[in-house]
Amino acid sequence: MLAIDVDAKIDDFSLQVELPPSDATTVLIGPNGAGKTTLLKCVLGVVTPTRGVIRLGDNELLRTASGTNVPTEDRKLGYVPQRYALFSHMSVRDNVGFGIQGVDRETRSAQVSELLDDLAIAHLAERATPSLSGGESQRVALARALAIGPRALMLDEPTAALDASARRKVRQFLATRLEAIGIPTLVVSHDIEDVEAFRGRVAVLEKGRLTQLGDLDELRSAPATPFVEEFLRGAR
Amino acid sequence: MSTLTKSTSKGRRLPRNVWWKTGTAGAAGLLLSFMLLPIIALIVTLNFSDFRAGITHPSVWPALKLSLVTTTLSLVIVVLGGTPLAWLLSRRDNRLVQIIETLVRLPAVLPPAVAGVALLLAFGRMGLLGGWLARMGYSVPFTLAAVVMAATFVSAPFFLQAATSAFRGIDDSQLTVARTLGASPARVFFRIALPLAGPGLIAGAAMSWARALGEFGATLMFAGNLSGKTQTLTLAVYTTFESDMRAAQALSLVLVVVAFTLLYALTVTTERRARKRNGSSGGSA
Repeated sequence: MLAIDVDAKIDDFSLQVELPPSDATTVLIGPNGAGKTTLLKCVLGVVTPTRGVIRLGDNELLRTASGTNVPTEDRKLGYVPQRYALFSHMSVRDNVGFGIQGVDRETRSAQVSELLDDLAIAHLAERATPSLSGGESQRVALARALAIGPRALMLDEPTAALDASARRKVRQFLATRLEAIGIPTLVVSHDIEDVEAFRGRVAVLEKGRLTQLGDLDELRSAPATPFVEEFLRGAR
Repeated sequence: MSTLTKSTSKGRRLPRNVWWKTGTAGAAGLLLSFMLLPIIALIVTLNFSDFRAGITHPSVWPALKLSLVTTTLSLVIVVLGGTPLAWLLSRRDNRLVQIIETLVRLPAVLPPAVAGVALLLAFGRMGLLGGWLARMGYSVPFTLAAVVMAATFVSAPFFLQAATSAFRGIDDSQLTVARTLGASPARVFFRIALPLAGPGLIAGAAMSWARALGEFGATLMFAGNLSGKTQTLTLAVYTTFESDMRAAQALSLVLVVVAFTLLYALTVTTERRARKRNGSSGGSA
């Protein structure tokens, strides 16, 4: 269960969002510059909100009032950024194994192999990451994020960097995966088809404020803003 | 969309322009020959026996040894101090960082004589820190330490600039991902930032070392030109030039060969790396 209630100020931009607790997938949509990625970064601990509380299950990742602010490296959140940010100087295997620590070499290798098998990318294990296609990179990035046994997942525009045919495949793959993994997930997206595929709830962010929250049907029956209307018509 | 741009760019073709071709070739050729001629002169006007006599001149080996020792020491100092400094500068972007960056670049553009005066005013017997050191019984000027300090002062900017831009070139999200994977700031630095910036750091270190090897003015003023004690290869060229032109030429040739070998090796390896990276990343985005 992930619950967010934060105010953040970055230069002239102010973000003020409250997302009630949820165990499922939340797709964050909104125009460019609405603060979607910033919100993700608040949860990751890369951006520190001026005020707020972020709770994950029974743990508080952030509570500004009491000075609680768990550092990024201790939050155990799986993060797949835009364009995946694979470590370009490491093989696929080393990318996926990077976050597995405190175990011996054999155990780590076995865990990596299991993940690679699970995501059907075992054949890529020794490949250099710059040589991968977009869809392959996406899977490696997801495997790398899952390797730490994350308590929640943050996906920033998971399909935006792909061409149309790869996008459809990756979306389908991700949707099935996310359902199987079953941990709270935040997905930033620009794409109505992502929203349809990932189900869950949709949070609409505009100019740093939450303008609508609900499932797709609720948005369709009563779009709260012109942006939502336009988004539902499939415009990007 | 790609087919569209292709067909339009195919339809248009630059007209042949003779003036353009001869103009660029002429200007390029002129500068190239101007730059090559002195190097060629250095080589062709020296016969082998003169070269042998030159490099066996008594001041050569002490000077070469001194140059190698002092430039190695200054390189170690520059890299050990410069890498963390460049990393810190690259992670921040504010007015203070801009000022510090400009300040640390300054020695690269200062006239060598100014650098020499500045070093004396700081570390000379009457200097800011030098006076205090003198009272403790240490005198810096005209020692091996002074040679190293002069070389460090003028060569550090080359490393710092290359290292800072190499660190800035790293995709921030790679560093963020590494942290989400549980890596401490130190592990992020050593496992991600350092390897990714590696080629830039090596190029910067090589440029910095070459600059230290060629250091002349500040060394002359701050460390002197004492044969066997503070006389570097560069200073030896200057000294022998007055007494034995052949020896100066032979020494210069040694410096040219060393510098060329280093720069060429660097160019080849960095280009190979760049090609490797670009050639294999065309798959996706």
